[in-house]
Amino acid sequence: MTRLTASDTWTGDFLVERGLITLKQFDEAVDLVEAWDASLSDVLMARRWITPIAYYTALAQRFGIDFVDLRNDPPDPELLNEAEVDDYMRELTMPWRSRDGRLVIATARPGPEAMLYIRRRWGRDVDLVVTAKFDILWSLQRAFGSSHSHRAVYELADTDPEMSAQTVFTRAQIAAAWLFLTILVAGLAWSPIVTLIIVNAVMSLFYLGNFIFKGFLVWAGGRRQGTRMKALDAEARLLRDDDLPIYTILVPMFREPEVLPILAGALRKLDYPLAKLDIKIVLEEGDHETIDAAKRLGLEGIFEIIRVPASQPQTKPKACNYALRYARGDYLVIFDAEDKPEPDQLRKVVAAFRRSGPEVACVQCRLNYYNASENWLTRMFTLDYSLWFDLMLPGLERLGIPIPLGGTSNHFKIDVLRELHAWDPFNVTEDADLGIRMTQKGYRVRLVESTTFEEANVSQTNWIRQRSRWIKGYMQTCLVHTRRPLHLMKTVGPLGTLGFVAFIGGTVLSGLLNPIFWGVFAFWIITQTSGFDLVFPPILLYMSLLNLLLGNGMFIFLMMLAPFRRQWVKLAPYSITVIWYWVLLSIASWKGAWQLITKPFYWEKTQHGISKHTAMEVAEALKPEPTA
Amino acid sequence: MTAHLTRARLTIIGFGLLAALASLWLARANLWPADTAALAGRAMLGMNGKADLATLLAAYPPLPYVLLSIVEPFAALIGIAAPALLTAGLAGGFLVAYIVTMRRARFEVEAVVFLALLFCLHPFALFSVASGPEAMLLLWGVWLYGLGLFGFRATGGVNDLITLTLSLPLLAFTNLEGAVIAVSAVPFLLLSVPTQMLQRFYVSVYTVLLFPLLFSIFAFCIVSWILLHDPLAFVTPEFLQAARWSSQPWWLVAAACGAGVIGTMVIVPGMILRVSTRRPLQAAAGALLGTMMLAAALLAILGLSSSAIGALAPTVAAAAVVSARWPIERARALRTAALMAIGLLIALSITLTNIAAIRPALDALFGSRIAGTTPEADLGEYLAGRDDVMIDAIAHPAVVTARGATRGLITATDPAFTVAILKRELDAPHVAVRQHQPGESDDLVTRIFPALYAQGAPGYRLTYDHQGWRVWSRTQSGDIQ
Repeated sequence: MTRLTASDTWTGDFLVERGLITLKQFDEAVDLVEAWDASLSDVLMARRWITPIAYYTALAQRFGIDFVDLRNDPPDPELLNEAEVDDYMRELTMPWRSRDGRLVIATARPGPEAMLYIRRRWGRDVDLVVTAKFDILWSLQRAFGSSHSHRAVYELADTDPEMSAQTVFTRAQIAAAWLFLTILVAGLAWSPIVTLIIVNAVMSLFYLGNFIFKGFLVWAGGRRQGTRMKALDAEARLLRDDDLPIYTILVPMFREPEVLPILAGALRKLDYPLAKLDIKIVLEEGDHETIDAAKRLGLEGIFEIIRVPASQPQTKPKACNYALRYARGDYLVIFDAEDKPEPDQLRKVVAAFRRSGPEVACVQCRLNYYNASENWLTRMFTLDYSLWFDLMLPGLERLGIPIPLGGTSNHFKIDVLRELHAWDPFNVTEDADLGIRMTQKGYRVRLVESTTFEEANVSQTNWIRQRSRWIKGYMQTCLVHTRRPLHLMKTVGPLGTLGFVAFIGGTVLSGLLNPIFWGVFAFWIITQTSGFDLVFPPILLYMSLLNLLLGNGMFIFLMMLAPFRRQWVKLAPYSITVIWYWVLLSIASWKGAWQLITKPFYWEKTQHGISKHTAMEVAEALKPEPTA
Repeated sequence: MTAHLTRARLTIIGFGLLAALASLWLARANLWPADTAALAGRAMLGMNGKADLATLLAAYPPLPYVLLSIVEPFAALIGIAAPALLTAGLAGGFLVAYIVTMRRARFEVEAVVFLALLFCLHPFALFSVASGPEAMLLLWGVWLYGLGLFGFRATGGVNDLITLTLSLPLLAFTNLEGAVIAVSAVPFLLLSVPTQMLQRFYVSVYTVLLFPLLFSIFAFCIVSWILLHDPLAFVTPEFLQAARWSSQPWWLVAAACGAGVIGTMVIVPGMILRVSTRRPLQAAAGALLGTMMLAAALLAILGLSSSAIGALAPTVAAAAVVSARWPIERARALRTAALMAIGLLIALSITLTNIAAIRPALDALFGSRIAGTTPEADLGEYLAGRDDVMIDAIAHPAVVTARGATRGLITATDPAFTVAILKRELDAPHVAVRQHQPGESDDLVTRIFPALYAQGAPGYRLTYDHQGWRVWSRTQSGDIQ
């Protein structure tokens, strides 16, 4: 626990004298500085007791040095070093210009600590000017934006091409597919019945394996959950504020200004010292409506806006890679714009990281929906997500199978994230891909029982758009990680390989194959034809029957079980209607497969903010805070 | 730590193997009921292509048949009868599960060993092992049902819910006795639901609890419909006869049972109001006890069990669950011990009054060799060393079980059998034929050769004549009239 420095005490008195803050606010800030182990400026701005511009102007006056608006007086690009951007951001200090033969350093936190850093880095013969934290960020983006943007797109592809989805199909994969098709066609020409029986047998075995595997996952995931959760809860509660690290929160957004107030409200409610939050709202440079909305909201100093330069592919992972350059935290998490994380999530994650070994580089929290009861689709989507996050992923974790990360609420050790070259901008489920890549590189993903609530899709067409992107991304992930099967086997083990192929590949493949089998069954039911008898010899017929009845029955049952962990039991009977949901899933699968060939990197945007719950949330978030 | 764990696991597996070997020792006496022997025979015929699999798959009960079919190739490989091997596996597995559950409940090693031995020597357990796979499956079903009841009531956990709900189809598809237990469980399932959940989501929870059972029945009907074009193909005369309700119309008995269950369901909500506020342990124990009592009553009314021991044997699994789940605090130890002693006394007194039912099992356990107890078993043993035997094995699968193999049998699916039927000419070295039974339809051999049992055939001499079965063996080929 640190006490307020002499310099900060003096600054605080100065601000009170000037009437920029009240004495009561200052006293409270002193307490928070000690409790949070944060600086005075961070506390004042986190609490919105002073605007950044007022603070930094006053700071300049108090130290008797100039205040520089870097947007009007930008730094000399010759003095900036791209390799030091991390340091500039961490220290909020950077070289500005040369004046009269002396280097002038711009800093957003003048004081003894900054002076020590400046002397160590640039020597004693320097002058100082004060600037705002946001100006430093803006200047660095301006200076290195195009370079960072290029790296955000190509760094992984350049340094580790085997792990990048930039190449959709490798030559070996194309050759294998060609060989498979050739054998299939030759087989059909030479002995069509035997070939069809073999194809049928392979598909039936796949279905059988798929439903046994998923059932086993749910069982494995359900064991001894409660004990671990209680231990982690206790440990998270014991963490002291001053013991918590800086936490970067990335919020990539694109044309969704309407949900910005929800996000800001949810982040403010986090049970984490606000001054230790490094929140970056990541926006596309051309997305003026969201940028303007963010400006209108007048967000406090803990929120920073990162504008991502326009380039292709225009994907979320590219935006996150770009923003990562400016991250200051020890840990980093991604939230979507409409996310509402449980307040204690960051604490639990810190506790989880501290309980785990160094190999744990990522913690995945659970996702679910706040508008589960809005309509049939949101109910089914909630059941689906509950099955995935509450039952299946814990099973993967328990069995040591690589975990495909979910879209948001995945928390990373930032140094590992940088070491792995972060997200693949060419993969439209970059998170799932990163989870597998992490495991391949020797790191592990852990799950933590803290939930982030999102907005479930209320429209079927919108849902298909979203799901088709996910499925296309799973296909990309499968294609990338099976390029070197032996390497995959060596790095994640036989069970891990099997689990990965079955979990990711199985999900995709069942979506594609289902309509074929449904069609065959429906045709047979209607016509009672004996035309299929030849390709369904007895054993195969019995296996298909088993898959049809036990498999589907089991999947319905698993969906029924999904809401039990959250006691959302009233959703369970809706599982019986899951068949139409599977139809939608198959439509999305075929759309995803088609897009993989025609538009592999196209980011099928999900429209958020269309739920009536979201409208209510926005209204709630926009309500003025009650004054004390 | 790891070495200690491995040693502990190996010890437990050792116990399981011992139990399996003991059950194999028991199984050598062929004490299985006729329907078990028939099931095993059908499995052997089906797996060896000597019967129409579709008919077998759509027959009730499917579960022992499917399991026997899976086990059959392994059993044939090591030369053990499939029911014996399956029973041994189920018995060994049960003991392992019991010991593991007790250890997880933090019982001391000595206590676990004592209770495991007590369980193994319990007359009901002994009876179940001697009765073959169906009886053992019933023990498993009741065991899982009990574990699910206690677990789900205490934690509301998903795995306990899975255990509870899947135990019902397991019971229902084991045999009619199991089906009665599953039906008896229906009204009591609500007692397994944690109070808060029950108060808020009554209908939803019940839907989930019953879904696996109802879906399994639906699926079984679909299988029958697809394979045999009749969704109720399993409701055969034998099925109805097995329930011994032929004196009344089956729908009347079914309606009476349904009314009983519904009546109980009307009573149970009142019970729930009283019991749901009680502690999980009492509610779950009440549900288990209620289920077993209702099941025993229904079994007695329907006459589905051959003896009181047969009807009550699955309660030993219920007792095992209670002993594993009841708290071991010192304050309750006396009450627990007293309850267990009372239970054991009741079991012993029932056993003593039904000594005839358990006697063969005891004889087998202590080494007395018991001859085949049915005509089919005796015939099977006789045919064991003979090849090229013509017999309608599909109609008499128990013979196949006792014989131990299908190889060497000429059955209805074999061309030689078809040719003989079409030409009405016998050529097989041996022909087994059963005496016409009044009120029963004849098998294929008797139907085509009605005089064979009484008169034999030219060129054949009588080599076996016992309890309504005869075997004619060829001396030289010839026609019969």
